[in-house]
Amino acid sequence: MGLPSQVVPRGGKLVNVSTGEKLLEERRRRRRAGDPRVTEADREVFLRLTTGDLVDEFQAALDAVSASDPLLGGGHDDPDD
Amino acid sequence: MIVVDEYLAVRVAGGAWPVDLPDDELVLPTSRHWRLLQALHGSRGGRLSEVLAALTPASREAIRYPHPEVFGILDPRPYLDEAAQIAARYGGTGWLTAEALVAGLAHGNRLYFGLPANVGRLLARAGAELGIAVHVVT
Repeated sequence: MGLPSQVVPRGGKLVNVSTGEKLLEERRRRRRAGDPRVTEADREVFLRLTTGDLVDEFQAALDAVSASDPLLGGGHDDPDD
Repeated sequence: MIVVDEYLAVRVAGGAWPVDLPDDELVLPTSRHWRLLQALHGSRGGRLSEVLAALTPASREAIRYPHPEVFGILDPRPYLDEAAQIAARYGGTGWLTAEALVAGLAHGNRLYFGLPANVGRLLARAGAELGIAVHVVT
């Protein structure tokens, strides 16, 4: 016996959506929404770190961790080698 | 499940899901979480330290203890032996690269990075030889 389903509007049509599908869709929505603990202002900071003006400094900080730890970085010239 | 790097983990935690990142559960290797945490807690000085220090405690928690529905941390124990084999094959890669490679092999022969500079030459070469597709989404 399958999970119960519900008729919902989607793309201008009414379609059957099972409870399992609804749960998966809800998880997907929460995953893509990000962590609710992060404030709006800090969401901007996260974006600056990963795609904005702080990318180079962030990469330098990560590389410095690898370079300072041969077990982690492997002792190669390239910090990520 | 998709193995991602520090850039994508932070970006997704902030709710900015890259268009080219497939819609799937995300996992960050332990070594990369370690590197991220050291950057978060470090005090190298400069603008980065000031910005990270100014994050709210709740936002820092999102990096320190990620919400499992946003991204998870990979348990490294099942991968240690294979990672050691890869490290030996490539002349001592270090845990960062070996763990990423073995995680990629275990999760769909693919890895996702948020910045080309974060891939590393050895990882790119070994990934190609091992049949791992290394994607960079920006």
